[in-house]
Amino acid sequence: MTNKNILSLTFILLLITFSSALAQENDEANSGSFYSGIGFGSPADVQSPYSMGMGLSGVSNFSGYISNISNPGQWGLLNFSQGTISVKVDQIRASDLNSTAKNSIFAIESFHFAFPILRGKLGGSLSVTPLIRSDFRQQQRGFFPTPGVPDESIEYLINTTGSGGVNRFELGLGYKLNNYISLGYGFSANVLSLNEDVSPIFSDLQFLPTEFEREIEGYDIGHRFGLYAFKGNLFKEEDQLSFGISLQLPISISADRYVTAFQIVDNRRTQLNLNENSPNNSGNVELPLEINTGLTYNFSRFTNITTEVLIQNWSDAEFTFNDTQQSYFSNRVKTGLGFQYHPYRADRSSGFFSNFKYSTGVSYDTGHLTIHNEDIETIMLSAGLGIISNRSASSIDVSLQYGIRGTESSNLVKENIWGFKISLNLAEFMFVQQRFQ
Amino acid sequence: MYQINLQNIIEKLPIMTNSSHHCASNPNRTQGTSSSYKGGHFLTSAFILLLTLATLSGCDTSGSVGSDIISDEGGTSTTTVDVDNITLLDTPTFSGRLPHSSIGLFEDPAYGRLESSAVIKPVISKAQVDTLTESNSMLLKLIFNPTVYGNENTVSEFEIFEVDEVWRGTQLRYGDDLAINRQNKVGEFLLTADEDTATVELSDEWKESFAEFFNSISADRDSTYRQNFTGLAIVPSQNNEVIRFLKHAAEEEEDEITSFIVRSTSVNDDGEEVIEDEILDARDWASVFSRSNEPPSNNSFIVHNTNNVLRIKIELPLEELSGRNIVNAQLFLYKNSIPENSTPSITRPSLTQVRAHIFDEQPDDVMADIFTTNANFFTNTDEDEDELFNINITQFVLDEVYGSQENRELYITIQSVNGILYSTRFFGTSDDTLNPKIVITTVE
Repeated sequence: MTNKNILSLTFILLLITFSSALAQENDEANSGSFYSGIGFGSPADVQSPYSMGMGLSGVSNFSGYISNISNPGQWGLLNFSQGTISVKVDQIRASDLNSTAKNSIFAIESFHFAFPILRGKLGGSLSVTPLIRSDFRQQQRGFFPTPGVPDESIEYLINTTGSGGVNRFELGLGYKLNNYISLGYGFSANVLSLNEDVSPIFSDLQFLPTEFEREIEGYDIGHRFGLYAFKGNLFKEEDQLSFGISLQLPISISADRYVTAFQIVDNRRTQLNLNENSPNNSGNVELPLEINTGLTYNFSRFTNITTEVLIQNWSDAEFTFNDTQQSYFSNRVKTGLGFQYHPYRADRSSGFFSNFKYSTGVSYDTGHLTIHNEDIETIMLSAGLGIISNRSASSIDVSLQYGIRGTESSNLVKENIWGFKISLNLAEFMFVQQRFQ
Repeated sequence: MYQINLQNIIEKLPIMTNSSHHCASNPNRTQGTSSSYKGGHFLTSAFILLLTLATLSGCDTSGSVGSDIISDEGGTSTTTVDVDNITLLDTPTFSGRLPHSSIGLFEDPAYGRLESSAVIKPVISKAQVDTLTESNSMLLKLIFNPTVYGNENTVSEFEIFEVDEVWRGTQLRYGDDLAINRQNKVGEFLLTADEDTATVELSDEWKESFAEFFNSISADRDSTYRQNFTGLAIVPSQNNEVIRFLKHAAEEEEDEITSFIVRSTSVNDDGEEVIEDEILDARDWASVFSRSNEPPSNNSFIVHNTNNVLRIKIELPLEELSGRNIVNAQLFLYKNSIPENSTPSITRPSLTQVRAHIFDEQPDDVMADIFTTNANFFTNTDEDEDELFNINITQFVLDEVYGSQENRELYITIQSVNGILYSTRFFGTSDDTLNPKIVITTVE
């Protein structure tokens, strides 16, 4: 079997294996941030594999061998066909003033395939990425008076497991204007699929623990623009300054809501449409305008420093299915700073540790929610390792994150997050007739 | 050879420095194959690593954080539906072949004057006794349930007569009358409150008339007996103040039940009198019951297990409920205990069960259908502690709201029909708080 066949087979296997881990319904115990249960989920903040060790999107980081999903402006620079698939595991310890919970989530981060159409001039991109994730578990406990016996009460516990989000299926083109500037555009279909499984339990066994399911579904097209500018030999030989910016226009999804349950009716198990007569059957879900920009300075081919700012206009976002939760939306700014070291780029290897790429970074996120006058902020520290294949253009990027989100004050939830990401990056001369056999 | 100002000029791809890459110009086939194989190992390792991650990521210990934030979302809600369309049906149920027969007389201020006789006839099976001879005597052994209705400390007096018409236990209902030949007394007995057994010697005249059927050898012996023999009636005297209940069914294997005894008396070799008893079970039995002088109901529903059914037509707010996840629906009936409590000296059988039947079509003989079918819903309560009867009718409401059948009626009866007399009084529809109602709980 040729190397090319192995690559193709492996890629297909990865796609099949992890397709279920996109932001869609998942029956397994798999839950993430508590805050992703508010509104229609939390921003996924997909990062390019090259920069994920810094905890940054990579809008201003270019690599010839690892595809960049953050900035369409870089797709015109491609010389190689590139494919990446990234997955992540987050373990979240959540606490409020009364209790704690531990959740973990395994999810696909992105699938991206980028290819040169005219090498170094015009490139194309196909990708599937989650824009919004909703993976959560919530418990609601309470009492209500026993019917007919007001002095007594019945305790109930309602477990809600949410999954899904908004997935972006994007087709894009990038074009290099000149030796300094490249532009790109992505056209996307954005599919909203939110699912909540609700399981009530009652202390009185006469009350049926009837599970029911809430679903919100819809889709809309989206547009994304990117620009990547770079200039080398700026302050010294072999340095380079690059700038990247991407603009995601708002996505307004007309969504339908379904609430269904199964009950025994007329001696048959029957699916009931519980919101048949509800005025809240349809609504609007709007993802806000996003501007993501970054600046990278390569001191040399061995080191670079990157800073980024992400702005999302969440105060204009909509979730008309729940006015209370929509009122929590507030504008979001995420800033980050990262540093990378690339010893493997040396002409000669100087030991085992020189075969890797090292990354580290920190980011601060004001969050897209303001609840009880508190911003749900996130501080995240990241460190990454790039494993470079010395036999092919492929590589693996792994990264570790630790962060703190939210606060326990004002009856809110504080989350300690440990995250692990891994990305398999394939790069190859495809569609190019090989001259040597 | 490199393009100026592109970032990839500062990256060095391994294949550019490693001559063993398959695209490079190394003609060595073995090396090329080896290179390709190592690339496969690299990818396979990555694949295994990803699979391992997927396997390790399924452990959650979900807690209840953030409940204050989501407390305004969903939860439970209740809908109360007053039940206004109730009809009290007076339709007697069967009084024969039940586990008990009632005998006695009692004037109950709460539920009227109750008078009940029991009718009974013995089997003519020769399994125990071959022939009734002149030397045999017959006795009636009456076994009573400890449950009493009335003034339990009084002495009861009963007389036994022949019934003056043919009857069948399976056809008699409460309220039916039977002619009794009071000219020909067959026996009599007194019963104190603490006695649960009475053995009464029956007259020779009656024994002789029974012996004619019993000793018959004709082929139509059984049908002749069934069509002609009228049996005995155990009649309370007019001075009685209590109703007792004869046992016809054994709750446990050793339990005695009401039966006839054929007694043989002889003298043994020592000159001593020897008595031998053989048992003849009852072949048929029934209560002949009447109730009169019932007090006014005063906005209550007086329900007796002998002859009353509450027919409830429930008018549910279907449009409101059709989008709701119904997890519970209960019919509430509140007992009006005031009349009973005003006569504390009277002992009444405790009501512990209320039943509800549903029929797809309105039955012609509702009591017969109730008698022969199991209840769709019922509630068991301890009356001493609870004056509220709540019947879980969740399935009925689900079927009404989401099913194909609508406007069915609930038929409410109290206790089971077991020969013991039960009565109760439910608050009526005009009571502001204790009126019959349905409370439906939904989860959102």
